[in-house]
Amino acid sequence: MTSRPAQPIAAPRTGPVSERVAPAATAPFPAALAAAVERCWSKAAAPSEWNLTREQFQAALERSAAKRFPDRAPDAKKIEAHLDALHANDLALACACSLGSPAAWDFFVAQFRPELYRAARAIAGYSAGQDANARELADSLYADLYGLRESEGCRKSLFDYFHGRSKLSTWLRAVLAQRHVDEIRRSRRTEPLEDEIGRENAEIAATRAPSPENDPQHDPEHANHLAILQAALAAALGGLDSRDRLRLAYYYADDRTLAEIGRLLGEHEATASRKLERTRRDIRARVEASLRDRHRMSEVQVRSCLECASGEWPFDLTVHLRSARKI
Amino acid sequence: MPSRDQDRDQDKPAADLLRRSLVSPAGAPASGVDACPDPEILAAYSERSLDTDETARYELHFSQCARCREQLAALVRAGDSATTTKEKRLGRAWIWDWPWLAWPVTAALVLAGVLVARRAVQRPAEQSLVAMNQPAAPPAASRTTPVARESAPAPTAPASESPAAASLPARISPNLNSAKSELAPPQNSTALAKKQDFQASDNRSFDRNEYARLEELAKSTAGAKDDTSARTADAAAPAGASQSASGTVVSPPPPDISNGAIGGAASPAPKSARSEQMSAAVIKGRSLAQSESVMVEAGGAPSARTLVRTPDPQVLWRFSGGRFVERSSDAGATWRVQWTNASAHLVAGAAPTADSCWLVGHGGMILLTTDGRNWKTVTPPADADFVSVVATDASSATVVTTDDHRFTTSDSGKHWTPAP
Repeated sequence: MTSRPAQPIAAPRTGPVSERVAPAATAPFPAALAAAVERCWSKAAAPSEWNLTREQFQAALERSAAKRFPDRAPDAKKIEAHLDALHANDLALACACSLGSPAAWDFFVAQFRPELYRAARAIAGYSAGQDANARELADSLYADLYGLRESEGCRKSLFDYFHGRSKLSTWLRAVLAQRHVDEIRRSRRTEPLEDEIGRENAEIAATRAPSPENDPQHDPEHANHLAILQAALAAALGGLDSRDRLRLAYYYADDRTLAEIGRLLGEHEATASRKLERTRRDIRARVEASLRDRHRMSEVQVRSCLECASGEWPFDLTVHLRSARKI
Repeated sequence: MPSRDQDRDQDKPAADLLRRSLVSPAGAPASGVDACPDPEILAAYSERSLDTDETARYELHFSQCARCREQLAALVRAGDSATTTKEKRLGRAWIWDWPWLAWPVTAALVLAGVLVARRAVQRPAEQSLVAMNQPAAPPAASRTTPVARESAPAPTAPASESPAAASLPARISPNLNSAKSELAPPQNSTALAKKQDFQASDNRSFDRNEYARLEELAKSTAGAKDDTSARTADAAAPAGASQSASGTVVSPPPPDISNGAIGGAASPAPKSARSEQMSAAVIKGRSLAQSESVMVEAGGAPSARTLVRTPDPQVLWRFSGGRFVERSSDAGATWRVQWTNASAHLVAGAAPTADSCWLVGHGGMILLTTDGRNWKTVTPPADADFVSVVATDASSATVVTTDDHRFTTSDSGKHWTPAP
């Protein structure tokens, strides 16, 4: 962030038609957290022209802690660690904007508007036809941040949903991404899903043309082998840890490249490739172990079982990525 | 099946099995999974700032939820664009080819960056959305102050004139007494230049008095919500009211749609019998009005907006305040928000075509769009409060101030001339 304006000017609140109100209060902090709150306030360094009081900022910290620990009463050390990790300056800016400070809002616009438009173009796609969509995406977000919409006679700002766990710029990009994806998914649902599934299954089937040897009419064990393989594969997928499952989902379910997966998971492309390969090896080993140990198959039978799947494979096992079962 | 770059699947049967098993229908909702995390969690996850337990828990959800994975991919794209921009700015591509140059070049770049940043603070920031015109020399006759106007004696009326008509000069410039301190224009030409710099610069300092003035005007507008018809009439009066030989005030004729809208609301006038009669006459005459105040439901609560109609009945504009304008292309069924970056209070508009719209307001604010989407600030002819605008196209318009001064442009506001 660049330097903030230094002039101590008291700016009045905006929102002439209805008052802006702060979000509902949560349980106040115990006295043991006073030092942590003070550290946050110092880090926030909110300029006086934003008209943000220490009490208002502390209320924002309390809401952030309540969001982080919703179901239980954590000890003071955990809350302190949470507070120390917050992006206090961004939280102060969001809080001041939410409360209607014109100075804070203008600072926000000056700092974040170009980046927001750039992010919207990157998300919506930067082409002649998409620039308008990107602009609309960003403008709509601005309206919600400003509190253009009213609820129960009061202006509510989207800033109320920012609690400082990430940088404000990243949070804004995440909101843009969510809106864009939801819009795309809404428009997708207007297309009949059956056609899409049929197209994909036809593509899959085309990669392996059925041969007489794989024709179920010639192999009475075929259906039995497929069922056994399905169960073994489902169990193997259920036994993976969350990161490996996510990597598999990106690669097979979403058809992402290794470079994209690396960026998504914060690892190098070569690392993503190596781990993917290891996961495949593990799955194969588990499947084979299951066929040998549980179903008493010989090596020849195991190979034959796997080759069954090179023909017809009617099962969608993405549902098994949702399973939390462990072997 | 799409080709895979650098796919080093050595175990073809297993890879093939997984590929076939994990193709899921696009757009299919994730069922039986936990609720999707909010954007703050996605943002914290992408910054790797979640703790170990949270990371494992949310990665499990992401592995089950196509929607979240799509959001994360979009988030990475947006983050990549920011990184790419920074990389282009720093010009990293060639430096690291000669590692021995790294430290001296880095030090030189840092020093240069500090010097450039210090100079850039003093320069008006580039505005991507707002195109600034060169300031035009204000017309010589534009500096009639409300104070001078107010102190001029009321016109002497014949005895037969109705008593209410004698109040017409006060009604044309309503609420001058209360608005005097707020609406008094700067006393010298450098103030206009300062205001243009103010609007142009993203690093501007704030004028406390300016915001206080806007706040007061906004409050008075909110308090006069019930008087929208009177305000509409007040704005119309300067544009079209005239006195007959007998002194009777003549209602302005209904506005011509092809020429765009006439002005919207000005500051609220004190209610009087005559003003109510004017309001009724004007409202009747404005049955085809293109700029009018309306109450809209927004989030369950009514709020005031000014509506601007266009020759295309499907296309409408509306605004409340200044920063945002909304446009509808389906006769008001849905609205799309547009950012105008206007810091003043907008009061009137005229839309001569479906894609062009003029908006005017207090503090010399004039905005224009010629493509229905992007707004630019037009240099005003005077640092005054504008209460109405009439436009024939995107180039030609006439604006009217609170003290009934009119200015005309035929080149989209690059040059203004006083109009009779």
